[in-house]
Amino acid sequence: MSDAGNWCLIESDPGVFTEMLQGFGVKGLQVDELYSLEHHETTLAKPVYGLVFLFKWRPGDEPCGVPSNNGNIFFAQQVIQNACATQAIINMLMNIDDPEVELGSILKEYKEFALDFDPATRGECLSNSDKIRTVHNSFARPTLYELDIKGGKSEDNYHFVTYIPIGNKVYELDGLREAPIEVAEIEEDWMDAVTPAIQKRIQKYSEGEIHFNLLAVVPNRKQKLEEMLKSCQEANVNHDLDDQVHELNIEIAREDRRIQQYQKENARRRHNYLPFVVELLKVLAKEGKLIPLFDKAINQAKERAGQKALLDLKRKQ
Amino acid sequence: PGGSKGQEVSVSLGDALSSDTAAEAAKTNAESLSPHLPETGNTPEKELSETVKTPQFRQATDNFGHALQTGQLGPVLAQFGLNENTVAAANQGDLLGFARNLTLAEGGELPKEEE
Repeated sequence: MSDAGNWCLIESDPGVFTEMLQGFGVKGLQVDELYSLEHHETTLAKPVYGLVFLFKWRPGDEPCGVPSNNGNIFFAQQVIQNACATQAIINMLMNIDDPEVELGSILKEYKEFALDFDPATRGECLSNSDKIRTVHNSFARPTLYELDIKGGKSEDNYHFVTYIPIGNKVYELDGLREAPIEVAEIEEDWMDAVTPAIQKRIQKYSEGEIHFNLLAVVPNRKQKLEEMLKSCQEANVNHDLDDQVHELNIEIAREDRRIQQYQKENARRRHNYLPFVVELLKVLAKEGKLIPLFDKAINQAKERAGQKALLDLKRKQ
Repeated sequence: PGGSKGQEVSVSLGDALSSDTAAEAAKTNAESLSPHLPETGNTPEKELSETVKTPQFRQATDNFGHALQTGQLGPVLAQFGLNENTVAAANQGDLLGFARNLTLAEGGELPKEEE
């Protein structure tokens, strides 16, 4: 993969993706986490425009469908690493055709520019877009130190793909493939049509204890509620809709709290905790609590290592 | 850099620094810690008690612990004005030596057996 500037890794989180949409200037959408495919009817607002599926990528994974040459699909291939979250969401957004959804100038510009190109060149254009990269990188975790730290879990091999209904078929848009993959035929609800394909995948990954995560792009709830409130207030000349107005205000406040929570989490994601941690270590040292805490942490680590060694030993026997 | 102690097992500082002990110490030293908090719209008091329980903080502390243990953090800590002995221990990846020297530098009490 070529290196067109640096793209940071993105966490698969509804708050991150919702704020990313805002950053692009998209109006009318939000991103929700989908915990269970069986209950999508009750947990998600309609229509569900598309799904973003995160999983650990393994070489040689067979696609669950057949490549499609449907020319009505906007599909960009992924040409750089780490951009797959943005790639997945943009591949979806490019295919949404709904007057309720506004793409905003950044994405409209990209679409108009890239529309006539082949998938690889579209990917190239995407990776060269400074505006898109800036929004993507606004979710960068601060590097605490300019060192190559290989700690914790590696996220390198996590991959995002998109599922989207177009016409009477469900397609999987995976930037690492040559073409869109036709996954299922839609009879009534496209979510019902895509469920078996995703479940099959989830099952495969669950057996290997591999993490995955499913996000849904749905109508922006707050925007909808505000529109409802406005028409309710206009019709409420005789105060006979006071209860509804009250209810709507409560729901809007609930949405505001959720948005606020997202903002908090994103502020923490972007925060450089290093000065805080150093200061915390100092105050713990001053109070004589640092050595006991470190002692405990070291003993716990030894215990864990011991248990693991014992377990390995038992396995060998 | 070759770490000496603590190299054989991977020590996580996430548990230690999000413990109740750490939260309490943070609360009583709010003044020196508040300037380093993320800007979340919370009051400093609220953010101080919330932040140490978040996955983002835990991730930061785990990364910190890993870097400290592998001797990568010494030069960075020197920039924070930690003294020579503390930085030297960090360069060695010596967690307990680091804790001991920092405690001495901050005038904290050492555990009995170390006196």
